[in-house]
Amino acid sequence: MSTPNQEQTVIDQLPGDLMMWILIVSELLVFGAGLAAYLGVRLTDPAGFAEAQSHLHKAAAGINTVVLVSSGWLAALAVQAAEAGRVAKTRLLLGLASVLGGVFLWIKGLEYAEKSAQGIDFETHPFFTFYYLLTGFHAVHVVAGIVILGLVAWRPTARNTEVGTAFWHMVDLVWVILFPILYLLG
Amino acid sequence: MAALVILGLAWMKAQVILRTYLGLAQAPSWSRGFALVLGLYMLGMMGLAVAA
Repeated sequence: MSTPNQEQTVIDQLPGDLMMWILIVSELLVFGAGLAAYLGVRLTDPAGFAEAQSHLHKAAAGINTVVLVSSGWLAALAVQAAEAGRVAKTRLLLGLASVLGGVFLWIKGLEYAEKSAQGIDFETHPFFTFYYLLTGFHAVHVVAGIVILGLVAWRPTARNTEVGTAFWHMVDLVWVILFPILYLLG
Repeated sequence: MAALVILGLAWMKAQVILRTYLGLAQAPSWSRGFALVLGLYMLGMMGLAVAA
């Protein structure tokens, strides 16, 4: 049995900020449960879900995956720049990561507009209920992430940058799992 | 089979984000814990994917 001192040591090993990790794990649990529910409900009507999924724009979502993964890479470079004390470079990298976040939202908006033009909404099929809930909730996190990156760029210390970009990496991580499950599993 | 490959690639990328970008490589015990939970989750997703 571990003593309180040993537990503290284990907590201390966690990189970044404990509260950010609690937030990250909470978000991962929510998205994880949503995606598991999606795959579970999909078992009740595989053909209907596959037909509904065929209306998605896989190429646009693929481009968005490249955009978000690239943005995550830039955010990781920003942490290295902040640790090296290079404030201007840190701001530039955080700014570029944010711009790519904006590109992601723009493409996502085009995707939603396309669905709307086709008369597809929340209630068209259970697939689209999950689609709008999961991608919409994720898009809200992208917006929050852009705001956080902006705040970090304002005062880019090594600590701020590590903690702020951790949220952005969580957004990236969720999309890396969400994209194949929603868009690619036929 | 394609579903397993697709989810396998997503699993690998998720591990890279956790270990490299989120820095868990510096904390081996946390890294093992996250890897175990992620692995169990992705195996569950693979099971649901191929069951459809």
